[in-house]
Amino acid sequence: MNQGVDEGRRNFLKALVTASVIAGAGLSLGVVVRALAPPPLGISSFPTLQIVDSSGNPVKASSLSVNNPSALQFNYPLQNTPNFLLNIGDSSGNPIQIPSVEVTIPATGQTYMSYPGVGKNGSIVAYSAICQHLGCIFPELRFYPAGVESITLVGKTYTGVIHCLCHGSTYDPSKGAAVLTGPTTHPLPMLKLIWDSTTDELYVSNMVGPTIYGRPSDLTGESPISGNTTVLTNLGNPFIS
Amino acid sequence: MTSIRERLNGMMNKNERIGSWLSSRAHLDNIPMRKTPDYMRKWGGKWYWTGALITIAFMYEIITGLILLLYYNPADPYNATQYVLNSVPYGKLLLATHLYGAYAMIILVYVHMFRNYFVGAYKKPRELQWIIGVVLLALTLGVGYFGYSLTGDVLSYDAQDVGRGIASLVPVIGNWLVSVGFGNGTPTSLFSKFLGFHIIFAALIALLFGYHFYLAEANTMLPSSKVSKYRAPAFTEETNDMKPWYPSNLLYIVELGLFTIGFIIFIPSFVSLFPSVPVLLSPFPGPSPTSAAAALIPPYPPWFLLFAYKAVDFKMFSGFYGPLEAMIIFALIPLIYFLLVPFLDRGDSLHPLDRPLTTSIGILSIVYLVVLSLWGALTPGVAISTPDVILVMLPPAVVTFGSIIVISRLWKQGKLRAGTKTVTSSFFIFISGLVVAVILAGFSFSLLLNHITLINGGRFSLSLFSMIFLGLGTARSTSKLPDIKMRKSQTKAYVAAAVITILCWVLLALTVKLNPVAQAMLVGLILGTVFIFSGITVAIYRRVVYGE
Repeated sequence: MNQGVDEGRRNFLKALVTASVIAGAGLSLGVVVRALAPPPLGISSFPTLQIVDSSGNPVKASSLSVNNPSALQFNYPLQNTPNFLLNIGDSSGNPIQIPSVEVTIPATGQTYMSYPGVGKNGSIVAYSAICQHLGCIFPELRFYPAGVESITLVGKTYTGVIHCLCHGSTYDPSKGAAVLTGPTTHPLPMLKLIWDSTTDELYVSNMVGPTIYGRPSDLTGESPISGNTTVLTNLGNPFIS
Repeated sequence: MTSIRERLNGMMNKNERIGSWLSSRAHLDNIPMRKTPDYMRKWGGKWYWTGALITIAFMYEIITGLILLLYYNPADPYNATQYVLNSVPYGKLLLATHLYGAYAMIILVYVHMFRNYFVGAYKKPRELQWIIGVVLLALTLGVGYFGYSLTGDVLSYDAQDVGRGIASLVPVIGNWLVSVGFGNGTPTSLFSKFLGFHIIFAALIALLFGYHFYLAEANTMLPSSKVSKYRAPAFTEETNDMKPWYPSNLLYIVELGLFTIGFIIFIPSFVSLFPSVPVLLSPFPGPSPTSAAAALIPPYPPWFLLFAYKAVDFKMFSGFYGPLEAMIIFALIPLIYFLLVPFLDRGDSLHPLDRPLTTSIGILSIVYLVVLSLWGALTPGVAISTPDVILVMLPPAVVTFGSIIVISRLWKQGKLRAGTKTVTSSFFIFISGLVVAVILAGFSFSLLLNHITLINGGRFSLSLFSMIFLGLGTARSTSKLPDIKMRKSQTKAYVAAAVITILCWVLLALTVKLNPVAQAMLVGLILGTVFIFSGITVAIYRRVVYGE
């Protein structure tokens, strides 16, 4: 140890050394922290996509049968974000005109207007197929057409609803997927469908309601869908085992 | 109520108490590391720490490698690499510095080996330590080969084809080796194996390094020639006047670490500023093997394997003798020689000139390594006829053995003064000059034989003279190189440290606005500079406080 260096000066130098090393260490830490997280995926605005079948042919609105319990799903606005395509009817199988209604988010009390149904009868709607409670998907989250009864936690049976078997959340697809029973506190996000009356073809162009479950926003968290079509897939009828 | 003064005193006492608690619980005062004499930490003492430099580079490789591992995909290696380069924040910096960190490690392994070779550190009692070190060299080149091939670019496919070809030539176990090392033929299988072996080799290096380091501690550092008097076995005896390992030695290691990592980050960042860098030195992977650009790239191996690559081009290895024989002669036999050197050179003298044969082989190894590598880089894939091979390979051998044996004779007869005052660093300055001169002399001699002209004659005599001069200098190295003395005016040191520290923080502030993807290498330039600057402040601190 050099005798000529007094305590104060040594501490001054010590502080400088510490400060410069901290600068380097801090910058490295910043680099590592940033490098560990891959950049987010996503898009900047809602695309307009045509709904097509698995062979790429446009889906005709009139080909969607009323009260079909089979899960017809398509991804929107990104990959791995499934949505139900439903043709809602009454218990005798006649299509119901779905109006635009005010939907309340019970968690926040906020409201928004749902989209009206499309197609010749205004009965075709689309909702996110990821339950807003804890993210369950088909076959747990199902569409119970009119006449098919669901059992909910409160013991009351519903029909003509979207119901989740995981924890019992129930949504009303004829009223913008508003919450019928908990535990969910958010309605299902609704998709804006566009029906071309001359060709009978369907397009999807926007969303309304809460953010898709488990995503930072509707437009990030998954890879974009390539092209301008989204494929409608039939995942089968959950009521026939 | 206690007064403010009492409270302040209490706080100070508390601080002190925390400090002593920490140092007692962490056993900072009795860390089981060897104390080292001051001269090893002074200006010329860097040669004693080449192993520490490798360790630091290796640690840098582990950290960056593990981050890169999180993004690697053996099923789609090229696109995974491109994703790291073009999308991951600072991914470009991580990949480029992982590559250059590996280069640094390989170069430092060679420096470490040859330094210890020339000073005779492999002699009693460090034979096993040396042998493990040579195995570590082989593993380092191996881990480099596998790592280099992971990018899935055109060079990586070339490296795999050649590696697979040579492995398949190994008698009896060739096919088994190919299946083990290169998989069943699908790209996914190949890159899964390579990723696995890259990590397995790194783990083996870590394990063997642990033992190598333990032996280094147990055998103590080879002391300076002043202490050893050039006689094995030589030890660095621990004495009471040596400074404790913590904090003086730790601080020195920190300084070395900051400089090493600083340069590992700075150099590729600087190189990346140039628009076109030769593919052998580019910090980034080459084009995809299926792209049009790939056709313009010579089938290079990584530069640290160029020597073996050139040997395969020799025409003598394209007939009855094949690439396998080339590898045996130019890679396996040298490796076995270095493994066995503790048992071949059994004398107790540590002086390089007392071991002329060993010293000559060492110099010649460096010469061949450099010549073959340069040759491979300049004439990739060009077949070389046997007379040409002899013309290039023979002169350095004749020149080296001849001159070293003559110098050694003269030295033994006392005609050259090379006493115990020799400063290690001056010896190495001369010996590196000698290596260059021997290469130049060999080349100019072969030029002279091809075309006997005045210019070629002049070239040869010039390189011969410089060689003789450097050879004499190597032998003499008597006059002690003056250690750079600390300037008495310490104010300058304080001002310098303060300015550098402020600069570090200014640089740090500059990076805030930079884009982590597009400007990653610019951040690297700054990060490298900050590391080097903080290394300088540690050096100033050590100089002022410890007088080192």
